[in-house]
Order: sequence, then structure tokens, then C-alpha cells
Amino acid sequence: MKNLGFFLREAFKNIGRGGILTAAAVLAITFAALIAGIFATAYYNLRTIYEEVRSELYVDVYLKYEIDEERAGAVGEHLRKLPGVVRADYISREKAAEEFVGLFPEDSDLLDALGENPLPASYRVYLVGEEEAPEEVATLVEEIKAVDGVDDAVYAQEWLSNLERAARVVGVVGAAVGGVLGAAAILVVISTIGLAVYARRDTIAIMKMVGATDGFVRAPFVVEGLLIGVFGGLLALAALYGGVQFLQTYDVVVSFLPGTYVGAGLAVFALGGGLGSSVAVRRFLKV
Amino acid sequence: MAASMIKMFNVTKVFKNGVVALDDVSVEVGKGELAFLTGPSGAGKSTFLKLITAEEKPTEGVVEVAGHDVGALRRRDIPYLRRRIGVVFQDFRLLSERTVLENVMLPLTILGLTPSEQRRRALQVLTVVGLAQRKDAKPLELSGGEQQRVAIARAIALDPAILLADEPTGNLDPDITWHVMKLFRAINARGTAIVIATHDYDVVKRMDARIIKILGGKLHRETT
Repeated sequence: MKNLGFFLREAFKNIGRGGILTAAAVLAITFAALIAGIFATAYYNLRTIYEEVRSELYVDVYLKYEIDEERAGAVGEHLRKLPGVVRADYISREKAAEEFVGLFPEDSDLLDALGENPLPASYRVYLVGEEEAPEEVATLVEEIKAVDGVDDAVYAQEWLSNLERAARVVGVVGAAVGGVLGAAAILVVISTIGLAVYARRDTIAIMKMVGATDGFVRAPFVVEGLLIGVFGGLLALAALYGGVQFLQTYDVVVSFLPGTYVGAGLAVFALGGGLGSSVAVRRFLKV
Repeated sequence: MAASMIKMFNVTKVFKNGVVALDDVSVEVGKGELAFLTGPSGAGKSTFLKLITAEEKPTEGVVEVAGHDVGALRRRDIPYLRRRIGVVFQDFRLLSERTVLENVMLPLTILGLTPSEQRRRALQVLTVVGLAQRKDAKPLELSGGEQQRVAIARAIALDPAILLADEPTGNLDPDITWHVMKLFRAINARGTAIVIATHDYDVVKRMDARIIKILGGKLHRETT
């Protein structure tokens, strides 16, 4: 693009000339981007927690009390063959007792008082966390429960699927709200650039008279819209970053958006600004 | 006559409001020719020029400019036709916030020349019109005659095959008018076809050139 320098210079000149109107357009984008960013941050953090929990997802499979070591081994083999199961660690009744003592040292006399070890043998079954949807995990747990020799299978199903649902709701609501505000912000950009174009209609007519193509006339305005989008997005990101930092000082476990989200967001707002001004300038090109 | 730069065959232009601006006009302007387009205000002179620059398309008939059928030109091809036509207006139409040099550089920028090449060629044409020393001035710091010379410099910056002027001396004193006319003569001598629309008969009389006279949208008379 041999005229890029010219277009950038013109765009910055226009921004300077636009003054308060340009500032209003930037702020409109900032507001929309900030709201979208808050939703995105909430979504991202919920997703992160969800992924973390799921990656170490396991099901505690309690065997029937009367089962002997040999049959327990057979149940283990069966469990390991189930689809979605990565690993199944055997916890014998003795080991369970040891773990109990380890977890609740002050209650260790409780086991002694009972005389006999009341804890059943169990398997800790690890699942392929990343691929399993909560519904599939539920089906798998039902399958495990049906295995001969299994008494019960327990895992954090409710909590996990609630978390997933929450993330999805935040994502959908955020996309809707962000979309509406984004559209409103783009309308502000269209009218701002529209006024800038209107103010420069004589210049445009002259440019067209000396042989400028529509693209040449449009480019500086599109660059201006793009810059407005990027400025607005950056301001919103800065505010969002500040907000996250602020929450962190109050020990809220929340992390800032990753680079991919930031990049995609900026790209969307740059594109929105660019498209908005492209629309705005179009009706003045018929000279 | 040398090869035609502008050809009009039976051209009629009727505007949407029903006004007939040109009525069955046929005329040719050859390569390197200088012609005056005369007639009272509202005779159709501006429409005549706008048909050449493809600002308007003929309702009937054919307009050919530098070998292109203007009526059949696609919208995106129009800029390339305009780069072969320089235009000068009564009100100069300079960009007031840019310097003289930047104004003259504009068509060269649009052409995509390097900045140093733009500068070199702009200075060259400013020298032709005798304003190289005012290159850093803003248009409004110049006299009317000087502004028109800047406009002429801009119009010839791309070395066009055709130069159109719409009442170029309408805002100028008689002395300066004469100076600008001599400039047109000099540009014409370099091979550029020139059409000057004017209703100033004194100017036309003093210049020994072809006259295309339009009255009420019709070709009234031609003298050479």
C-alpha cells in the first residue's frame, strides 16, 4: 500500500479536527467494549475454573463391603475397560483406614473403638476430563454403578454442571449485551465520521475531480474509524485491567483476559469502526 | 484536424427535472486544439464540460473522450479518465488548509508517485505558472490570479491530454485575465487540447481561437 502514510496522516488530521465528536465516538466504543469485556472476563474465569476442575475429575467407586481382594481386582479390570476412564487406583480397606487417620488424626480412636475397619475398599477412577461433557460423565457414573460388586459411585456432578451452565449463560448474555452496545457504538461512529465526511465534502469533490478512486477517498476515513475502534478498545482494556487488579488486591481470584481474547476484541472493534466509517463515507462518493 | 480528443455525436442531456441542458449537439475537439465554449449563463456550457469529465452521462447520443465512450464507462473506470483531464474552475477549488505545493501534489499523490517525485513534478508545474517561490503559502494568502495559476498548475500536473476551464477568469481583473490566457496558450502549445468555457466576449475576441457557441442547449455557431 503505497499511500498508507498519506492515509494515516489524513486520518490523524481528521481525528484532530473531529475534537469532541471523535472523543464521543471513542467513549461510545469504550463503554461497549468495557461491558463486553466484563462479561468476557467473567466467562473466561468461569471457564478456567471449570476446565481446571474437570481436568482432575475423578469418581470414587465404593465396592461392596463383603467383596474379597480377587473380586475387587476383577471389578478394577472392568472399570479400566470403560470408555472415558484413564486410570483406576485401588484403595484397599486398610489403605482407606490409613487415609482416614491421615485426614482426621483426632478421630483416629473412632476406628479403634469400632474394633473392625468399617471402611469399604474403593477405586478412584480418573476420567478423560477435557473431552467429557457433564451429561456424558453422568452416563458413565450410571454405568459404573451397574458394575457387579460396586456399591456406589460419587462425584461432584451437580456443582460441575452448574458451573458449566453459569459459564454458558454469562457467555450468551455477554454476547447479546455486547452485540447491542457494539451496534450502538458503531452507529455513533457512523454519525461521527458522517459529520467529518460532510465537513470535507468539498475536498472529496476536488479529490474525485483530479482522479481519485472511491477507495482513495474512503481510505483515510476508514483508517480513522479503525483507529477510533482501537482507541476505544484499548481504553476499555485499560479500565478492565485496572478493575481486575483492584479485585485482586481484595483477594478475589480473578485473572485478566488472555491475549487471544484481547486480540480478538481489538480486531472486532477496529473492524466495527472501519466498517462504520466505510458506510458513512459511501453516500458522499457519488461525485 | 488532428485526431479527436473530444467527440460529441447528437448529444442530448435532459435532467431529471425535465430541463433540457443540451439538445442534439455534435462537435469535435482535436488533439492540441484550443477552443472557447461560449454562450450566456445557463446555455449549457457547464453541462457540456461535465459530460466530458463523466460527471454527467448523456441522455442520448455518444460522448467520446480520449477514445473512451463516456456513457459506457463503468463507475470505477471514471477516475482513470479524469487523470487524463485537467479541470480549472472559476472559484479555483483549492484546499485552503494545504499549502500551494500540497495542492499541486494532490493529483500526483492520488497517482501513487513517491513523495520526492510528487514534489519534483509539482515544483516543475509551479515553475511553469510562475509560482514556485510561493509554494509554502496557503491559497488564501494569494491573490485571485495567483490562486487561479495554482489551480492551473494542479490541472496540468498529470500532463493531461485535455484541459477544461469553466469561467476561469470570471473572478479576475482584466490584466490578470490576460496573463492567465497567455498561460493557457503556452500550455496549449505543448500539445494539450483546451476547452475554455466563458461568457466574457472580450477575452474571446482578443484570443485568436476556435469558438463553439451554445444557445439554449443547441450548438449555435462555430467559428475558427
